[in-house]
Amino acid sequence: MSESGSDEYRYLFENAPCGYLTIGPDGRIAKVNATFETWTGFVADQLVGQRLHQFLNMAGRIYYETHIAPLLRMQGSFNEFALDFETAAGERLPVIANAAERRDADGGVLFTALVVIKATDRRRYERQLVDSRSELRTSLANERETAELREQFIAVLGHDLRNPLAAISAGARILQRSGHLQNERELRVLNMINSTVTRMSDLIDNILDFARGRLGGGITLHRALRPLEPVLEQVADELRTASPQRVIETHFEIAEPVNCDHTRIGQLASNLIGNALTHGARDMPVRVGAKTNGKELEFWVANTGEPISEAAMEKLFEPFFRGDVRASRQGLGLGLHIASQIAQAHGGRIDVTSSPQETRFVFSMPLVQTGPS
Amino acid sequence: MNVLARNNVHVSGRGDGAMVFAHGFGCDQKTWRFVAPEFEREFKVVLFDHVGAGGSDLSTYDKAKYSTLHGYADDLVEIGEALGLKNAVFVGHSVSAMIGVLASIKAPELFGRMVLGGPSARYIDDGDYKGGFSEKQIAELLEFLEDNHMGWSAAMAPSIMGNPDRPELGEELTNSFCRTDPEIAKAFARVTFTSDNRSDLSKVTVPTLILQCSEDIIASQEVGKFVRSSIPGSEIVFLKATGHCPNLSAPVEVASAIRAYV
Amino acid sequence: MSSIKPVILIVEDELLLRMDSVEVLEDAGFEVIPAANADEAIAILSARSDIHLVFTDIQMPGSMDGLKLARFVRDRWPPIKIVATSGHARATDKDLPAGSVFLPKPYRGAELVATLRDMTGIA
Repeated sequence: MSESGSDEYRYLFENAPCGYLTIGPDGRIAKVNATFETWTGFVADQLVGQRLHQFLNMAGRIYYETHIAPLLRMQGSFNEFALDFETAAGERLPVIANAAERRDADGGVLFTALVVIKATDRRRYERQLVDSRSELRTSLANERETAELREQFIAVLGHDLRNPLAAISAGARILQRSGHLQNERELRVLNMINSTVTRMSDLIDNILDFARGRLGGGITLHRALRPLEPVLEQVADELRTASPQRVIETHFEIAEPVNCDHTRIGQLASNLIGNALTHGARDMPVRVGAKTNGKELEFWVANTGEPISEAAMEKLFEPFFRGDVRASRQGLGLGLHIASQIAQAHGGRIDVTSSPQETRFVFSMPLVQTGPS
Repeated sequence: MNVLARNNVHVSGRGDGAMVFAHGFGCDQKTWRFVAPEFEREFKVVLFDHVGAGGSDLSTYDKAKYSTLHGYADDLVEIGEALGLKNAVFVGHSVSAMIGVLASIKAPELFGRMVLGGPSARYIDDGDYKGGFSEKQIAELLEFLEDNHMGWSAAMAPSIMGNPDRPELGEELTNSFCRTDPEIAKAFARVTFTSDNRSDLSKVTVPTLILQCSEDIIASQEVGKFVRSSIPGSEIVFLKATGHCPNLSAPVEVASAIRAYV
Repeated sequence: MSSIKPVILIVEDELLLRMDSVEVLEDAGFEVIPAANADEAIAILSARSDIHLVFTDIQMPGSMDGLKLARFVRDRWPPIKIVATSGHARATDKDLPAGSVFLPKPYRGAELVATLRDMTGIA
């Protein structure tokens, strides 16, 4: 090669946009290029003849001896590994490196070529990614733990609140049935006990469902194939007892047992009728009906009164939406939201129409033939 | 559970006795590729991967079990039982030296002789004992391993499969490290470098040879000498080879040293 | 249609609930034997052989809860049907013996009657 040709190559080697070293078979640095000198702050004399790992931090040294060197011997090259050099000024120089062995005919090492690229930003970025991934994992684990605890708390709370309530209304029913309380006033008191308990029980149901739903639990169904009418009748009766001045007309035509979660459908019915009682005209009946037509179950609640505004329509089924708040209005605004969740869980929907003549909520769901789940 | 499958056990060669090779930290059984074949004419050569390395069954990795070297030692004893080994020769490199020591204490008939390459009973300095590393440095190592795991999930060895003429480019090269779950690798590093088996050495009842490299920063001469003086009746040979993996960088010297001892 | 009155054993530790369920079921045409806990229930079951169905709460104080009782009953007296109830978590099919029914609390009286009629084969 001509002088100028070899000079050209030398120039390319020395000033490559990467650090370039060669390491002899004895493991000592044989050649370094100018770029590497500049980056590390060492001159060639300080580098040549030394072992590579003297310029690495301890982690790098261990890694070199246990991973890089063996891999080079086993496969002849190793690419894209990270290394941290220590500069003459004592600073860290993170790099990405490629290494390749140049071998003789017997497979022995002639020399090893090592190319390094400065990777301060990239390594920092990667480290940030790794760190945030660990953080995420930890907080995910914490979240799960917290969620489990909350779930358990809700379950216990529900049980502990519901049981005494159930006992109270059981007691009231017993007194009612006994026939010993003849006085109308006393009977009315019993009715009020019942209706108050029902109201509280519904409230608890809705709150706990909502809390569970927000935690991602959703509404789980326990389906069974049983007659639905008795449940709907009882819901209507409870609400009649709670609002004795109001008229609730029922017209149920459910020909066959329905495969659904009867408790939940009862809750849906109660929420829809309750909503109609609250927002409907006080002197007009609330009309409730249900029918099956082989393919679908339909359940509707209709009332007369002020129509639902357009603005309200959009938010009707959102949690905590209460529409116009009347003086005596109680409740959290969860009833319709929970009802829609129950509808969805059954693969059904709730449709609303509202005009000055009538406001009507219609729940429809497909009838499934399979038996209890 | 199939122990031989779990640890990717390979048996080759023939002979009355068996020779078991155990790889060290960072590698898998392939690191013995230049040494083990030398003994196939006289011994049943047994190669295996620790769980978490090479072709071992990663699904059997149990964090609690492998949080100490005893977990790995138990596996080694199980492999010996599965193969019906008695008085075998054990050749253990790096952390496997201590794993072999523990296995031998658990099952004294398993090995008749042991060769420990680059052993260290404890890597972290402790008072007068100079293991070679500080706790801070080991913590840095663990972090550094993470930096590299980001790197070489992409790093690729040649995808040329099993070319027997150019074994260095073969399928074997699918970087055994790439097969390792990064979490397992990190855990194994932690177990290795925080281990302390100084008090176990005196319980060894089997003739033992220590192979010590010059200039091994992982297991210095001081550390090697400590092991020799603690294992009763043991011997030490100083290799000319440098670095921590003489089985790869100076396989001839290593094979001769082993042969001289068995 | 059977003319025998089905005999139901109710196991429920809450007094008012027990009394109420007894009345509701008797009104519906069942013969009802109450028990306050699993031990009482087992004593009754051992003394009589005409019980068709056991209706038990799950959370109960004492030596056994409702789930254990259900398994015990299925083990000793296989033909007896089982309905379990709870205000707590819902029992799944895995927890109860095969063919049992779970009725979540709060249940409406009508639902209880319908369920028991269903299980004892009364229209």
